[in-house]
Amino acid sequence: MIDAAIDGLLGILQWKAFLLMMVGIVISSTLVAMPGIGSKTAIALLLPVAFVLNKFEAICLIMSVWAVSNTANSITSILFSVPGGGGSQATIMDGYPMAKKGEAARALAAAFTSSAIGGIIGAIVLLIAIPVLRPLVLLLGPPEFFMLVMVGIAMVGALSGKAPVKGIIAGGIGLIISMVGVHVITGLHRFTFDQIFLIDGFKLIPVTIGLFAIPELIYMGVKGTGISDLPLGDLGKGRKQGIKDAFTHRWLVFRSSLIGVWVGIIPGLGSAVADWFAYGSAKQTCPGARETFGKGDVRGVIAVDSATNAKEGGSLIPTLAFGIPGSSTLALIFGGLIIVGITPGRDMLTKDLHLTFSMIWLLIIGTIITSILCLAFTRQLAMATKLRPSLMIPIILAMAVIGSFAAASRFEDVLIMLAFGTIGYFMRAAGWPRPPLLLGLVLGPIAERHMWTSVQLHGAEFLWRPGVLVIFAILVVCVSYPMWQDRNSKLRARETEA
Amino acid sequence: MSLRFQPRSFLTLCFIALFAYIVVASADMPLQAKLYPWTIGIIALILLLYQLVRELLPPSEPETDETGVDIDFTEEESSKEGKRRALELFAWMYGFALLLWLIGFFTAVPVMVLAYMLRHKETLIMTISLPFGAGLATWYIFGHLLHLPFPPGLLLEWAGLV
Repeated sequence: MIDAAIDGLLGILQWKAFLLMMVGIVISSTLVAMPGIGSKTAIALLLPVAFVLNKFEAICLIMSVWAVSNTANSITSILFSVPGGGGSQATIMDGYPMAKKGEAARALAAAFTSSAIGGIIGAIVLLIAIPVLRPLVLLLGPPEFFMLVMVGIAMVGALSGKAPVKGIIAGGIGLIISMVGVHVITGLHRFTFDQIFLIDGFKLIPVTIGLFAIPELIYMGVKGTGISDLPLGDLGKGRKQGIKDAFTHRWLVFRSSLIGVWVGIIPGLGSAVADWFAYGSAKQTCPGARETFGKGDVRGVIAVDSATNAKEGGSLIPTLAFGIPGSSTLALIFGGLIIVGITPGRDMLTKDLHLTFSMIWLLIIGTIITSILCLAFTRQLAMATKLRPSLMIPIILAMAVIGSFAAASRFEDVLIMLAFGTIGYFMRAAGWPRPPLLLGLVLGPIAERHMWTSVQLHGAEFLWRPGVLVIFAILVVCVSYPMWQDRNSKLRARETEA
Repeated sequence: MSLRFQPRSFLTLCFIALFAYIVVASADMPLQAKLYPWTIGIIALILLLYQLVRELLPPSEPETDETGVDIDFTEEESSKEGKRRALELFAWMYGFALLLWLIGFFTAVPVMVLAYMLRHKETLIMTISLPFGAGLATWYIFGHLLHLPFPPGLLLEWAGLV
């Protein structure tokens, strides 16, 4: 095993392989920082190149694009409230308010540092988990998956401050929106109103950009000043503080990374879930977080970014060990690996173990290099928050429109983005939380598939399976604990007043 | 006990209408297709009715707009001037979408950026360089490098320019 680890490391340190890794990192960091252009687009663009590369070189090029994408994703989320991709939505929640407060450098530095640590933890867990986790993952059947999805939505919904009911309903709206399109089991067109573009359903990117970027764009226009009208202060100090924050909250980084790894291991849940799971968990467990999260608490950024990067290590476990791609991006990588003669599955743990190690090393080295590069440019990135709205608004609007179009090359997605922008604005105005809606949209198809399979396999009795009951108990705790905490704090406040 | 209808309850009513439609519209679907919308729709309708009652009844304790897991609406935004500016920005956005449809992305992006700069009396250097940069980036990165199939624009098609 040690020989395989050394072979793997030496393989990616060959000059050509290392150079290709750097190319992958630069391409990924540049492309994923543009809203709507995710790592999938970047990988799809680079796949044809893999034909002429050897195994190590192909791994370096393809995997580096994917491995570092979540780090750069946070840039636009923090600076402009425009999520760079699926895994950076929750970064907005505290990253953007921090930028508004003049703490962009601190938020970016905390995000990059926790990304690096999360990525390393993910890779280490991948290293030690493959033989251990296989039976655990196989224990989960469709009923447990269904309940797990419900826990995710309930967790974010119940954390909606003074309005948990609104939060849970917003999650339901997301689930309803996810039903639009062809129903996979019957082939029926559901709620499409005979519109061809609705057959595919609503894409995540235009909905996300609409819900989050457009209302913030309007906020910026209404305010009439840059994202932050407060002085940026000493940017170098902000950067140092951000790095320090990630180490000060090391247990949060560790916990969130483990959440990320766990979500990554479960095939199909995807990156857009890991961030919300980690955010929800941090909000429930960090002292005072219920009052400060959503208002620019650095712990919100740290939790999300460590989870999204750690998830990558976790999602490689089912891909490499069982040949089950953990996400659509990994399915693309899966194809790329097959092109160069690497077959994910049992071989990756036996005769191709050195290649598995090269991927683990790449996750570690790639994440560290990307974080260092991003940290080096934190100062320049943070300055963007001081730009005048008359310069920012048209550029962000153009980015939002192109990003929405790029998601599926459909003009209708631009209109969908604008429609959701309008909905997002009115939701904010009426005090309805937007994140649960997004989570419902992401998890809706997974929930429906598992619900129907559960009903077919077990009838209504699927609800009585031990695993389902355990997860249901977790769901009850997730929903009732914040309410109980809220009630307690009100009682305490009344007692203090008395 | 007197009921009070607030403007924000209008959104709750819209959501009730949405879920009611989902439940009714899925009634004719086969069981496989309607089980899930019914489950979600009926639960959400019950919660929405509860929410509506809460909004209509006078509050037992002072209300806040805090959503906890979202960025809260500011006083600036809820002021009359804030709403007027928001309306203007919506007009810009929908106007931009119309422009994209009529003259295509490659032309509409720099035109929108230029118009916005002129409206807000930006400096001459910015008014020239930013639309040019935006147009160039749209054409080179998204059109040339990434080969995004941008629609050419209705007017340009009619005029036979593309």
